[in-house]
Amino acid sequence: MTEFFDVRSGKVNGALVITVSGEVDVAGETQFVRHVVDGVGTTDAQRVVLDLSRVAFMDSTGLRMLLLCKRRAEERGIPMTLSITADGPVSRLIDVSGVAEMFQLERMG
Amino acid sequence: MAADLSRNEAARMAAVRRYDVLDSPPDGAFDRITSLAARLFEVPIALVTIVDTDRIWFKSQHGLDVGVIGRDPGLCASAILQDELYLVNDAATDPRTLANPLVAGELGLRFYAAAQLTTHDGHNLGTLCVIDRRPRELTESELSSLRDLASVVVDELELRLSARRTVGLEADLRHLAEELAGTLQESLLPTELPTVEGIELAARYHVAHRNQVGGDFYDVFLQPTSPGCVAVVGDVSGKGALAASLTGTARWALRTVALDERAPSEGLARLNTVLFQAHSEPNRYCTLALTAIRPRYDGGADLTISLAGHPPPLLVEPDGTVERLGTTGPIAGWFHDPVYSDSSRSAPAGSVLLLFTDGLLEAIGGHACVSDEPLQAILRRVAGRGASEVADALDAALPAGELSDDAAFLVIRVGEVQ
Repeated sequence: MTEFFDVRSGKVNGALVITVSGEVDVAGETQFVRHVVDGVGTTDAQRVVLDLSRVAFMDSTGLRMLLLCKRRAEERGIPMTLSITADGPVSRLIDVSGVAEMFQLERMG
Repeated sequence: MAADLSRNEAARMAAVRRYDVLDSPPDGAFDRITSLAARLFEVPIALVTIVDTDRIWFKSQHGLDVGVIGRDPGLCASAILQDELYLVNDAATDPRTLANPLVAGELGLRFYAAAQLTTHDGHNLGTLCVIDRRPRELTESELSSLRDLASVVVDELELRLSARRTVGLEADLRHLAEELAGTLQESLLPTELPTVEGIELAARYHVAHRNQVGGDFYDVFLQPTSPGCVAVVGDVSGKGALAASLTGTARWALRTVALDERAPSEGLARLNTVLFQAHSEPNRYCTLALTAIRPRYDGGADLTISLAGHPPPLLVEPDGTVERLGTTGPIAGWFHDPVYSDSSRSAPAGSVLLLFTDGLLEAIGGHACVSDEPLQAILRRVAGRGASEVADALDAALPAGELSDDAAFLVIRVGEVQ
């Protein structure tokens, strides 16, 4: 069953919080770039939290998007945290891809 | 004058053929126009006609059972020779028509008004005409309406022509894209696997979309100074031309950096440097499982594996034990200086090593599956079998129809071919 990709964002205590849900693959690439990558790249917030705990599936396109977000955040000199579910699809992808150390991860039970 | 006419006629006939309307099946859009014209002008007969070389063919006829008449007596044939509306208010007294068999004969035609169907490039294909058995006269506003209706007919013809062209173009483009994708894919994959003593190989590649170059690749090559071979399965992020260029770079760079007897981890680190430099704005990366397979005299083999962001290969021993091999390292081509490590293991004769891309997990495990458990279950069932048999068993587990992602795998069986 396909779960649709969706993005919501808002400011919480000076932090830009972007919540992504559904399936993140090539079908949602354009939307992800527009709403997430560009969101990180243009924010005036002091830090960024990507809440990926509701992502049902993520493939290599999604990982590339996360890496782009990280690059944008670094360019602006703001820290970025990924909030993910331990043993969830994003955790697995990040672990298999060997990039866990590159991100600031908040793994939730 | 006559030569002029025939030259124009040749060009006009070319236009008629281009619209490909002659002898086409009835079409509701044109029938609605003729029935509207008949109602609007209060006449019994309204026609959309196309003038062919020797006949006048009716695309739509309202109030007439004939589908075609000869061109000779045809009023429409005369009508298309001029650009003004062709009007015969009383055919019985009009010198142009009084001897016409349609007028003098059974049909008893008295009133005829035709607006030419003029294409955007100025050719008169035929007419929209209204006919009555009694003399008539049309008002200026009725004449404008007749012209407008004729334009609607031409618009409909243009619409059909451009729709047919679009469909044809799309088919051509699709065919070309499939051909290109096929050719390119072949250059990204080995045409045949090498023969390696003490190892049996089988490889399969399933593309999700025929008209797109996939991002998956595999390769097996020999090293001049070592026994055995090096095998790799990789997956480049994205699809299409960009992915293909990175796939090509990755495959050939790997062959170059792995020529000498280097540990796979070192091969990956060097490959990363090449990819990182080759794509100065590194927006793409690839994942790889790189394995050195060194056969031993006892029929077994020593395996050394290094992973760059790739799902771990599976080793199934003849007794059905399945194990994931390799230690995870970062994706290749994105980071400046990633660290890769090697895992070594000896495999007894009859073991099968499966290198695969994540597309296979989804193809076999179902939509969005990232677990290798379904793969492991298949491997347990075919433990101890030959490489082709294992590949066939995996192929058999693929769903019918298009896959959502490309899937590639390489089966490496340790031991002599049985």
